Amino acid sequence: MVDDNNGPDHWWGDYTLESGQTAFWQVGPLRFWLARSDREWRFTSERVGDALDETLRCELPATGTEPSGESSTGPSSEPSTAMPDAGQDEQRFVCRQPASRLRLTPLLADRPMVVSPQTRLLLPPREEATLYLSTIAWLRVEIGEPPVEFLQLPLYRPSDTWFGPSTMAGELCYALKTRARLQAENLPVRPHRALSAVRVRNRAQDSLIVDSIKLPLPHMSLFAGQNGRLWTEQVTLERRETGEFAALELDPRPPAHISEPKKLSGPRKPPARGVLIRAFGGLMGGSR
Amino acid sequence: MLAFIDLGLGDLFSREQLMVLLRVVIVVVVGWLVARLAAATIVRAVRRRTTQHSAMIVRRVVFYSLLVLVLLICLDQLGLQISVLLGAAGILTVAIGFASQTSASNLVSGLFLLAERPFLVGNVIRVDDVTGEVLSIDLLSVKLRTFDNLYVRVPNETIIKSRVTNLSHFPIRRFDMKLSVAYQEDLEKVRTILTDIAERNPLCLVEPAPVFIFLGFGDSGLEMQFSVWAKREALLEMRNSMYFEVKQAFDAMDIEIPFPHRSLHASSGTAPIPVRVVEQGDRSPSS
Repeated sequence: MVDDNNGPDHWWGDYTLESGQTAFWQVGPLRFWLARSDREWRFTSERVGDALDETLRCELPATGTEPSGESSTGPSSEPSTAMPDAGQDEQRFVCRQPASRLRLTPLLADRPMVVSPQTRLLLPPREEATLYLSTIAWLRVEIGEPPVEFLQLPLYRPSDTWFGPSTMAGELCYALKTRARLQAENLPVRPHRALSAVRVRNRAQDSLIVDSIKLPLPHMSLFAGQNGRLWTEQVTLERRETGEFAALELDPRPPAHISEPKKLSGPRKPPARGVLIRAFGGLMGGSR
Repeated sequence: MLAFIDLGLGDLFSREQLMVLLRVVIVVVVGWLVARLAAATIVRAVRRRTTQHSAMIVRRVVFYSLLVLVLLICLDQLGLQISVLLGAAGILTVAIGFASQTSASNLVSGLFLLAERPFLVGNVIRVDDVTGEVLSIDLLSVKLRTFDNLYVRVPNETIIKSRVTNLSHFPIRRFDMKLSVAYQEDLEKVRTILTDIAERNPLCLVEPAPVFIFLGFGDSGLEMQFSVWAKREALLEMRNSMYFEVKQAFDAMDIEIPFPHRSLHASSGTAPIPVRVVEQGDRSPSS
């Protein structure tokens, strides 16, 4: 049973599960189950698809007159949604008082993400462009009232990567390849991915080759837009006339054309004020 | 109580001397307790703002400084002149130096280790053939806990003289996977398979990119090295998963992992080696 206005286009929100009931979700490539017994919750998951999977399924137990809610944009021959036997990844949450409330929240990654366009992108001198880059969202499960965090896990596990001038200095990040499209409308809605509008300004005299862009996701917030699409704040990157990069700017809100954005989760870390967040990649490979 | 002590020590010490001795004992005991308490309190205060290693140094400095202060107070109570003591200390130092050459060497090495900081408490280091986590860096020795949970004491002098490898210094590490495939295999295909495996494995870093190096024509097959990077904590997991995935991929793609081969040739001056095909069930001893 869904408590808030949880339509078929998104998976987050508050739910209520009675003792003995099991709920199932598939959010992109991750299938997961939550089963409730009297004073215990069990969680188990399995990964089935790739980073481009668009499936969104939700099967909640029927209670009273309400039918079980289900939505799917995936193939018609869906695999079974029965909860598998206890696997290696099963986790249990034990509570002193019976707790029927469940909250699912999307989060941004716990490390910065280095997003690389699939094809090399060149921005001519004194030009600017807005690139739409999508990153992987994390799932947070909270139980009870007030909610207590049960677990967090990525909806798709991106590869690790290193971002820095050498193997001695830098930062551990996640890596992801995207199409880096110029119009958000062209992008399919993937329930496990969050979209960031990145405005890149090149004020220098020479072209800027964008090999990769590091998005400081732990400092960013997540918003829900229309059709269940997840958005982050808009990011502005500027290359000065001298060829140096200015500090990355985070606008407090998602792009202006997103109507009625609803904030789902705040930054994991406080904003790094006064710190130059190196955003362009290639410090090891030479992207500019 | 003093009357009781007088019964036993009255011949040796006067009442005033006994009082002085008592004061010294009290100063030592109280001073030692205060030094420990002060060191622990300061460490507790700075622990959140500093590393485990720095906290350990702060604790030692506070503790030993207060102990020196206690020692000076005791000497003052006993009526000893510091200048005279320093003169005697010169002769004493020579004597102690000869007597405890090894300890003094370890002590000086310990000071160098604290100043140079080649590793910190909590780091994993390799000294000679011992690998373990640094538990403490003391004045005479470094204490390690090996991965099979053994407590190893390495004298500071050994650390200074030996080659020490700090496995925790940098956040990422490279794993060099040595492989060989049979001579008939296509090297380009092998390289593509290995690169795909690294791309699919989330623990393999995308940057620095994996490196494929052809090592040469070995005794039994083509030898190569595939070097992949991982974050330090995930190196072991990545290493295991890479071996599993390579084995699975090679089996699926019918790529042969060779084992040592020996070719036997009869020289021109001898007769050919007789070979007879043995049918199943025919086990009679024969050439």
